Amino acid sequence: MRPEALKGHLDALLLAVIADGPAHGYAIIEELKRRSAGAVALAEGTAYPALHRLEKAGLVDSRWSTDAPRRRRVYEITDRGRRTLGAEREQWARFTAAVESIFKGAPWPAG
Amino acid sequence: MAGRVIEEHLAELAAALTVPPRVRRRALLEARDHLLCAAEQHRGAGLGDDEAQAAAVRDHGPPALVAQRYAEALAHGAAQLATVVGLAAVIAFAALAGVATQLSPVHASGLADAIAWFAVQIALTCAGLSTVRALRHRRDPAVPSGKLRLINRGWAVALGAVVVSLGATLADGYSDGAAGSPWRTALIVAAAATAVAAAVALAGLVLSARRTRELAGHADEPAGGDALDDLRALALSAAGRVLPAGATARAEAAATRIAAHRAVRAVALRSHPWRFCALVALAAGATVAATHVAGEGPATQGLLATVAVAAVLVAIEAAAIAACFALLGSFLGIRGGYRSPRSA
Repeated sequence: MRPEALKGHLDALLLAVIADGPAHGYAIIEELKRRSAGAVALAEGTAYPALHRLEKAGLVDSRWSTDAPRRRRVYEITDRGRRTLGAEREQWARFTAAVESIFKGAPWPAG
Repeated sequence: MAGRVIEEHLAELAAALTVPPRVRRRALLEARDHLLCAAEQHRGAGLGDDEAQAAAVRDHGPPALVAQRYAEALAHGAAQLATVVGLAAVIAFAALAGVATQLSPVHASGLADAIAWFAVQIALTCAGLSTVRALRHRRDPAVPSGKLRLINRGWAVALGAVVVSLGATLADGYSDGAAGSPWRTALIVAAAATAVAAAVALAGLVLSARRTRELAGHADEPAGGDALDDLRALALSAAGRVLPAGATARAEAAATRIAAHRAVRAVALRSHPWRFCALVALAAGATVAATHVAGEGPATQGLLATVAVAAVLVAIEAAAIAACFALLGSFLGIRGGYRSPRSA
């Protein structure tokens, strides 16, 4: 998947990973790659400005962790972030259902 | 201490970043931790130390790209902040002007009143334009620098109108025979409070302009589309949130059918901005004249005098709008195409 195709969806993908539990940047990006079986290939450094943006929007919280051998920032989803992720999932499901209908030649919305 | 390859990459990233010191420190600490983690993993997979560092640096991405993403996030956030504080100042100003001209028994001089009359319209129009543009891109991860520049320009003109009008009002001091009136004191205090709100908004605008300039240093992209595109996208996005999916699709299809209608295409307002300006100017003039006649009643000298007064009001309002359109239309991106300073 080309990085520019990801640009509009990166925030939601990061939220989906962080929703499973607090994690630092490297672990979040590795999990993103693992879940997409490597299909999501982004310049890894560009995920950090996106994480900062999510934090500024109040969708994630972050803190410095001292558990690791060096200082690292740990990100955690907020209640607002969970609500936003729910809305994003719903919107994505509607979008993919519409595209599926078009590809299959069936009318939409079905039912 | 990280290895040589990672340190060189971090030095390049530090040089490329155009962010405040606090963000820079955090960005570099996170980048260092990320690169060390990645290099460790590559070493664990069997690569030598230099190869592992090189692979980590390659996966991290070009420093210029990472720095651009930081600049995009900051510029977008600053423009949204400028919109919030700008809108608050313009609303406060419009409320003050409304109270001062409609409700207060204390009035400013004719000149201060005239300045306020046009300043309110300019401020509200420009604030509306910038707000629509900012709202349209509110959830976007990045906004082209050309569009951010237009948002900032709208706020610059809106706040300029506020400042000029407040200056005239405060200089005038509502002094015409109203010394000692509690209304006079209240209006001057309200004008001073609005001036403070405008000063905060100007600070937000200066920050946004700076961040936009920094972003343009990384990637200067044109705004793309016009103000009607922004309005359409915003309306469809709002409809998508409140209407069922089928209804939104039908509304969009109806809007497309209307735009494709022979009569709409013949008028071609989008490709003839002066036609659009003439339509808006006449509609605004007619509204002003109708409001005046409804409020003041017909002229005592008869129907002809009433029509003459209305015609003069239409002409003044329409001429003012046309003059503003001629002066500010290109600057605000509502007349002609936007040209990036770098492509000019």
